[in-house]
Amino acid sequence: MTDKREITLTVNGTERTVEAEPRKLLVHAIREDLDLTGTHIGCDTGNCGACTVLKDGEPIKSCLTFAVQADGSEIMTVEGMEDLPEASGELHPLQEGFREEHGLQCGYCTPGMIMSGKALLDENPDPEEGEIREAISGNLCRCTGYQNIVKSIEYAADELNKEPAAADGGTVTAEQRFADDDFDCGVENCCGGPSTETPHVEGADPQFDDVGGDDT
Amino acid sequence: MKAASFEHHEPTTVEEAVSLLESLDEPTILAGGQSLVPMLRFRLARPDTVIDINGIDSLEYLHEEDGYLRIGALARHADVEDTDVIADRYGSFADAAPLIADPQIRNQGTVVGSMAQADPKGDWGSVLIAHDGEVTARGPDGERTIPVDELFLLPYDTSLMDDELLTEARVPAPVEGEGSAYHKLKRKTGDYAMAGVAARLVLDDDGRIEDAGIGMTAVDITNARAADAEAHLEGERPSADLFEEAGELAAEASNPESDEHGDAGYKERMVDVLTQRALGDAAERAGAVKRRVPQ
Amino acid sequence: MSSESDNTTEPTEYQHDDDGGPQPEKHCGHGRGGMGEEVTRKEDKRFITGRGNYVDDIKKPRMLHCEIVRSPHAHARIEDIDGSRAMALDDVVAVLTADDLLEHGLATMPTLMDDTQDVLVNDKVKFQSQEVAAVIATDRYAAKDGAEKVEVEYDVLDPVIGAEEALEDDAPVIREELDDQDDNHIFDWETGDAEATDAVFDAADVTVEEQMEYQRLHPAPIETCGCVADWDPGDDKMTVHMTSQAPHAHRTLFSQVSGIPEHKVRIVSPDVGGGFGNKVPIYPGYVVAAAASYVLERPVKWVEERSENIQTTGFARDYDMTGELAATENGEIKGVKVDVLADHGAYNAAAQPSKFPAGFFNIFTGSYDIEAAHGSLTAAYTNTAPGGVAYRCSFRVTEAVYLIERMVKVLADELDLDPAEIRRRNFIPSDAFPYESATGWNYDSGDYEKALDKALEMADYDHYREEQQRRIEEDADKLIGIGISSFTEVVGAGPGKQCDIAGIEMFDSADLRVNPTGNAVLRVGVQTQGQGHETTFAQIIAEELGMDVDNIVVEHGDTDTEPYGLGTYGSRSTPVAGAAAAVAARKVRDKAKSIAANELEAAEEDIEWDRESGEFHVAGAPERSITITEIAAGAYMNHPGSEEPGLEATNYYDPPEMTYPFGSYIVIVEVDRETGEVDFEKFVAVDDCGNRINPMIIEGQIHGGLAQGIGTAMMEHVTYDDNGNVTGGDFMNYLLPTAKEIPNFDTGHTVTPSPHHPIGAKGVGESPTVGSPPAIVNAVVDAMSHSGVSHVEMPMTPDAVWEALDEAELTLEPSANVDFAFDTSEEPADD
Repeated sequence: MTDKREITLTVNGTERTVEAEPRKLLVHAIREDLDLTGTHIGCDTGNCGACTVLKDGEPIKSCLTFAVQADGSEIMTVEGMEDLPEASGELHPLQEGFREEHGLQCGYCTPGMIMSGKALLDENPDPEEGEIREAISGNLCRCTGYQNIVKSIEYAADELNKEPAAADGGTVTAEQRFADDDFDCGVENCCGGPSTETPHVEGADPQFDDVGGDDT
Repeated sequence: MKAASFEHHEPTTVEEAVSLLESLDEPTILAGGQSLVPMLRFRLARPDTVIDINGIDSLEYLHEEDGYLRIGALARHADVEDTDVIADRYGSFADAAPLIADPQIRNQGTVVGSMAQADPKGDWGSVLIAHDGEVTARGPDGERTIPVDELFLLPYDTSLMDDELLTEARVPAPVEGEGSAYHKLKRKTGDYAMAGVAARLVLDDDGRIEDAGIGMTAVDITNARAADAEAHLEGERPSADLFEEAGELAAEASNPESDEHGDAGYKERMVDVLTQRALGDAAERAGAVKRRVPQ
Repeated sequence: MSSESDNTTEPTEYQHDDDGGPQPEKHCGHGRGGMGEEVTRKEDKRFITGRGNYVDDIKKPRMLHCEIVRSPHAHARIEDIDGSRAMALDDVVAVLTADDLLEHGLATMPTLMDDTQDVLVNDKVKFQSQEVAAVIATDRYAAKDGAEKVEVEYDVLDPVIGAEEALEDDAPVIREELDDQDDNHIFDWETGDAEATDAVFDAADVTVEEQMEYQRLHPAPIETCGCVADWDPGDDKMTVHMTSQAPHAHRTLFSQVSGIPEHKVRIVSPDVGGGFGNKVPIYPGYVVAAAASYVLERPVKWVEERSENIQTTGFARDYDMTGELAATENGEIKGVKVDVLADHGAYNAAAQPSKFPAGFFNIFTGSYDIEAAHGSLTAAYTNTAPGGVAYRCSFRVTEAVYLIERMVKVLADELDLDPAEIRRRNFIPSDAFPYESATGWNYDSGDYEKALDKALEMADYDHYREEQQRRIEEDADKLIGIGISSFTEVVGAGPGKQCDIAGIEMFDSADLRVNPTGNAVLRVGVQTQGQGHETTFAQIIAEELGMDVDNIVVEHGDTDTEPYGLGTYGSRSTPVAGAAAAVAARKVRDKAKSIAANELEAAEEDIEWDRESGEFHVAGAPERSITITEIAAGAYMNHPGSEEPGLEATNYYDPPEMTYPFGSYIVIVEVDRETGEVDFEKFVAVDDCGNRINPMIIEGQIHGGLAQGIGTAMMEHVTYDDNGNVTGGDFMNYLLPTAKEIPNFDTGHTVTPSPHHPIGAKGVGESPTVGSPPAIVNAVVDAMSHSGVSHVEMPMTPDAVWEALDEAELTLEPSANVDFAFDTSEEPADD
């Protein structure tokens, strides 16, 4: 056994320190030292993606990274989703999407899927289906067959692109959402309604510029 | 799976890393770690010390400079995907990057680390072979350049000295009339290649192939060059017959093994298929042919 | 135990659309969330916020970690085990071997088929990665360090891999410790009428035969197996939080193995990260952790790594089958024969009712009215991990469905008949139900042609047949294949008299308590692993009592508080526990009538229940009505003298029969003639699971099962080399499909209620896993059947498909697929 080292991580916006041997995986530090058990472990080979977290904004597999390697970095886990501004103090649109579109069954892969979805939407606010499938291709799900996970992320993209509609400071309520959907429950005088065009916000297209230019 | 104990060193300069390599007993270098960490977890690798080079900022680059595409030891697979000059000018790199593993792994894994890993199923070795690439190794006595053909010796074994650090991989910048491509056959996303082929063609003003490069993945004990196929192409005009012959020669040069994912004979045949497909794309990108309208 | 009449009183009272039209009502706060509504799941919030509580999330004070030392050999005698170097490590607390377990009577454990498996190997290792010793340490890294230091001396023996090899005369005997066991033969099993079947075959116009292997699979839930065992010496009580699909049955088994009285054993199955049959058996790791906790008087956690999960816990399938059909020249199937060689691994640990050694394999007559049938099966021990679990399957129904649906395609090709048409000619007619099959199974209800017709229409079948023909004629690069499977399932075991697990009858249970303020707690004996029980069971209660679904909480998984049940597998939760919930609700409703009468000052016989409004009212005076909330208050605050106070009921439901969901799947693939790669062009699934509780959840179940079917057909396989080394034992080698390999599915449904089920539901979870593999294989074969290909083995790797193409002379010579005819006098275009 080698000496433990003090590691400082900013996890979901809060600075935390962990004493860990160099061999301790980041996922074990997150789950066992920080007690954030939403991040899961499903394999030992980096295939399943249940351990996906964002490190400095990028999705990584926390079972293929030692905690010491994350020293000084910002880590985001599923537990941080509700604190994001888009969550308006409740669920983040991605979390809502998974519930509304039945994007989960046993729930084990879900936190990793949500983190991969978050990373995608941060870079590409209006992804095509193929781009969503690519973005979650490092996350295995054994329950859903992925179709509803894709829909969940599409739901979140739609919601996030819709946010300016509530720019008056209010949040989009469930009723408004239903009103905006083309969903019709079939009950007379109930929640069905005409679908409305949703405003589209094009996000900045992040470039790879932190490791040297590509324009020389 | 939990790794055995090791000491962790984090040099911030190449010099510091090299001096650690020299002074420590059989250390292992950790870059992206996407192959190394599982090996440590399974205790297939159990070094006493790990030199983590992720703190060496000077190795974080990926750009064209002095007539080369230069890939620093900390450039990730995802960086290759996201770099405009690659999308515009390096077809084989642009093809290969998104076919590697999955998005999370591409965010961590490095091109140079993959070269150092020398897994015959790695994709970058083939791409570098097709481009006549080379790598830079830094040791106690300074830097040396190793052509890619001299880098891979055996599976997971390179000609690097124990006290050398791979700092860069590079390929010559493309010239007028050059095109390249990479094709890979795999059973699913995240799986390694059953077979892969990188091809590069340079056409002269007369439309003849001036230079050809073909590298093969997962069909020999290392990434391998299809030298006979390359020689057969050079000096000729692209044609269906020529590419067919090159495909056959590449297949003959391959030496795959049967495993759960495919029979050796099948893989050899796929080298033929992938070589021709890669040559087709390379030739198209070089402006020599047009893609057939799919039926 | 309830009286039998409870199970049959009040059959289906309602039926939603039976034409498969659009299903109504996403739960939107206006309906009450009853049957047929797409209620979003009540359990989701904790999962999407990272608050789920899985076994590995549990942390207890003073908790230790267990790591198991496993054999690198498949067949070896243990000469010596030395744990002293491990014990010398600071953080290692104990090293356990078989000798230590023998002291406590825990050296062996019964399997689900009543075989006896070593918890830790006592004498001879029988499969690679078998449990040899256990190291208990203060953290999981230290436990691994300790495991590495345990020195085991092996005398390596020749392994026996493959059932056929195992049954050869000179094969080494694996189970020599058993009395009278001088070979590797486990049992022979037979069903149907051999003589009658032979007669039908002799008289037939045409017969076909095909051999096919259903390869060894692993359910591979993303959460592996594990437990936290906590012996409390103060109360002499063992509490085990474990990944269990059947906590109550596990409690009984645990008690039997350990000798701890059953009332002093508590099994808690917290959130379970997928089960699919993997978490039905007891595994040595659970027993070792419990033994260690008992000895050390500290909580002990054991959680499998992925390779341990795939290499040692219950595999599925591994049936080598030969099918034969006899038919008339116009395609009327007269007889079916099947012979199976089954690899059961080193112990007979298959998960099937003990009266059915081959499970429900005898459903192999499928959806067809076949005069005569005969099946036989031989099972063998091999030096591979034990198993034969029902991976998203009712006890071998998957293998049976694969067999018959593949054979129908083989016959169609032999007779040059359309595979849809030949099915239509042989379906059990919809007016023939209840129907008894040639192997003696009583199908409850079905309308197979309707489901097939719907699927054909959804798939645009005729169009793709034309496209297929066009591609053949034009010698196109990619071939089209169209595969059909019109499967019949059998789910919902019991009845208890026919079906049991380790002797315990396969009933299930529900306990419903309505609180004074009008909300309710439903406790059930089944255990969700993602099926959404907390929502669907609440919907049943909402439907039956007129409560809002949000006012019902469903509890499961804790043997201290829930009524005894047999667990969730074989799509039995809705057919059995769902029935129990409905019956319990109806018992509450009966009592509610009496309270309503008291409250409304009317005679009890005049009180009517109105399902639409969810209220009770006086006959002929709908304005004199009362809700269940008001009745609940009455039950506690103003109970009639004729009744006990309170409002609750329990039901233990023993189903009168199993249920028979069915469906038709149509898969359209494109096969690349250069590489053998297969792309899914269209995937249509029409399911009929009787009355539908929550269409959203049903669709989710179907998507997931179809993805597993694709994994089965295309990539999954637990492989071994000749030395018994598992070569497909982790996720790098046991391939699960990702979002990029799985297409979008077009789902549809028909509704044919079960006549004997209280709410007319049948269960659906496993239909897609059972029904889709033959459709997929049929599609790939169909792409090549014009050139004589009759079968491709699963998994259909590109290599396997290419070999089939090659044999049929359908491969394409490789080409660059580019047009070389360009004018060299022109400058090459800039790229």
